[in-house]
Amino acid sequence: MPKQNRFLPYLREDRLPHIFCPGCGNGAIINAFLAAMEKAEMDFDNIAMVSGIGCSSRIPGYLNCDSLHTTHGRALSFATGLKTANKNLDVVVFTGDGDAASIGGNHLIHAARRNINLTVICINNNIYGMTGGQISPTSPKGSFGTTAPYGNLDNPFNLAELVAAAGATYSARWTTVQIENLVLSIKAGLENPGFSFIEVATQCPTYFGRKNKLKTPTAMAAVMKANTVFKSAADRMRPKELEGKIVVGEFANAQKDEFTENIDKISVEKFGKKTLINSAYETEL
Amino acid sequence: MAEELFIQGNEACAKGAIAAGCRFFAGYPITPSTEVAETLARELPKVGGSFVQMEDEIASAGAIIGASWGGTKSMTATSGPGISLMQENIGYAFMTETPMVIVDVQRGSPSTAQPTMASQSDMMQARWGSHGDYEPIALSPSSVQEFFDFTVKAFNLAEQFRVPVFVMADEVIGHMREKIIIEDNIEIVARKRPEKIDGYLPFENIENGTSPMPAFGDGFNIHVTGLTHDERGYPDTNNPETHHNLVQRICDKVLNNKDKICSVRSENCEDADIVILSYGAPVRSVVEAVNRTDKKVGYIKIDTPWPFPDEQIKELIANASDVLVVEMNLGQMYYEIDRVVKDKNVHLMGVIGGLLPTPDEILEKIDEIGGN
Amino acid sequence: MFINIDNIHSRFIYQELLGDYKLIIIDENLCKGCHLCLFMCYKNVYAISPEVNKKGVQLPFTKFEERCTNCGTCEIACPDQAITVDLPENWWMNNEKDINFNPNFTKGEK
Repeated sequence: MPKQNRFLPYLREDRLPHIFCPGCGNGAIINAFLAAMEKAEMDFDNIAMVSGIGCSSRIPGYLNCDSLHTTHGRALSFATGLKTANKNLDVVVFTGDGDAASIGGNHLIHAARRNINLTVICINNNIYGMTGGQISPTSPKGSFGTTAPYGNLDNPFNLAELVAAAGATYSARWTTVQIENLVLSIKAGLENPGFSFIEVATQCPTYFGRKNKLKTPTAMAAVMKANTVFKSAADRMRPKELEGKIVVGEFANAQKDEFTENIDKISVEKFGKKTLINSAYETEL
Repeated sequence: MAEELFIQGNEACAKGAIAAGCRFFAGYPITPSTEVAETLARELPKVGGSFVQMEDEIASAGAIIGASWGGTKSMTATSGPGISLMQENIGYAFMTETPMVIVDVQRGSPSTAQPTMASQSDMMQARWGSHGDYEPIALSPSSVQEFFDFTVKAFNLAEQFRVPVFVMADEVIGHMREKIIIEDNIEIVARKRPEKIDGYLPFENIENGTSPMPAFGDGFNIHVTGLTHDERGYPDTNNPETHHNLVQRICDKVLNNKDKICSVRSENCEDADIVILSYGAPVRSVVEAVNRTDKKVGYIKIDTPWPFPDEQIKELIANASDVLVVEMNLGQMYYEIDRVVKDKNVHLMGVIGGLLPTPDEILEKIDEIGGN
Repeated sequence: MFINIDNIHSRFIYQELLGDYKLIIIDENLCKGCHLCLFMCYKNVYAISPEVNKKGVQLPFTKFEERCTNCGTCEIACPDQAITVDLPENWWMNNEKDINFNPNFTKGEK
């Protein structure tokens, strides 16, 4: 009879409880990822995680696998190198909205363009949490943050659609409220042999909530749930009706050539040489 | 059978990388280093390596760090503006002790300046470019043969000390064609894998400061972070002692091994009145000038600008009265040399504009200084 | 939702035989008191305890455990890994649904 939480064996228990605020969606996304990984029957020991800077990027530090906590926004470039150097690894990237869409926007679209086999989980809380509540490129127009005391003037990015347009083979958006869909979607992303992007809209009660009159996690979750529109329904709605709504669903699901396979193919087909793995440990190559 | 080739400096660098075991290159086109990328794009697939053209230089630096943790020796090549963009990730590589090689074919600076002209204006950027305290290793070739040899040496030093190593070439060396000889038995250093998983600490404070490094996927489940971390690699950002130990060790592992890293080449220094110090391409003119003059002039060629070989230099200039520094910037290594040899007259011959100082110009400068 | 009627009945009937058995365990040390479990539970199994514990957290507790349908949502939705639902291993097998199923509709239709 399992008395222990079924996700705890995957975590670095000596580091718990984690630094996330009460009600932060990051913890739920850890669970959703682990559940999806179990569902996809993947080997946890073969997973390598890469993240940038921000609240969401602290996640790999709590998971008991090889993890690379890198510089702000550059996680995808590190992941590109890691995956290319050893394509047998299952590389998962945890990133946030500021990390992926703002400072790392270029890396995001280029990784999608290359269709490199990475699974990117972008935790979108519409705000910079770690630095104390500044608006981010996905903050809704008119929302408040410490750097937008009179309301955000800019239009937000629509990340899932941006990445789909950049050429990713799998792109989806869910919220932490549709946790079962999220699990299935991460599973589909892990199984997809190409660039998979899963945007998760999540609650940040501490900063976004406090600045926008939604102080409790449940209030944020309730508003998020009420504003959610499934893509199949959204397709039939007018743009005016969709203002302020979160459209959830899959935005891309296709098959294309994969980047590391292509590199390997050149070596094998032209020169009869497989791409070497762990070659740094050899003197005779 | 040793191989004799007549090739460009940048091609020699690419060949050196492959000889040293580099199997991953990520880069972004930038004059005058592009030929390194072009050559490796052609050659790497032949030996089971991967070439990636990234979206910018900072992504290239990130990709080679990722590849290095993936268990592959990795390299990037760039020039001044590119190395400026890379600095954030270079600092990360120092903090996480990631072996990698950065080739900088220097061009006229600052900013875009002179893409096709030579300079040595990134020397201090290699030293202090990223924020914080760290001790880089930089090698400075002055011929095509040396560009090959130093690239191999850079990989070996990177693996030995788990540190990013710079190869600070310049446009002259990068684009020049010369004969080089590639020996059959090139000594290369392989990365050490830790012996057992239990009790392994990736950032352990051991005697010589460099613990073995596993690859991702080896089952060590390590956490690598640019935050101040303890020996396990877990973030521990608020503890002054942890931070001090970590940064001190990152510096000490290079400084305490200076005798293994530093190298200089000198001639006629014992009884010289004037010693010319130089590195990189200007050494070629310096050697010619020293051969032509009938005064008591010697020269020191600095192979490893960083860590600065102060002990060796002090010893070699003991009998000289004047020191002349010839470099292609308005004085970068000059101040470092001035710091080391306080009791001598240190003169600077800083040449910018993209052309090498000629032997005649150096001879003129020697006459200006005087001496017998 | 996928209600397993047999399961509910058996647990309800044999409650006394089970003694101290708890289907849902909440770890006091890990819970930070966000109460998202109350919001996420489809069957309103949880309630908030009126007292605060030593960490200043009003812990949730399972007031209506007999309503539980073993869906496991609270276990995944708990951000602090504080909820353990005693589900058999691989409980999710053979429970595959369409990714786009909408829980707002009883049959999970789009």
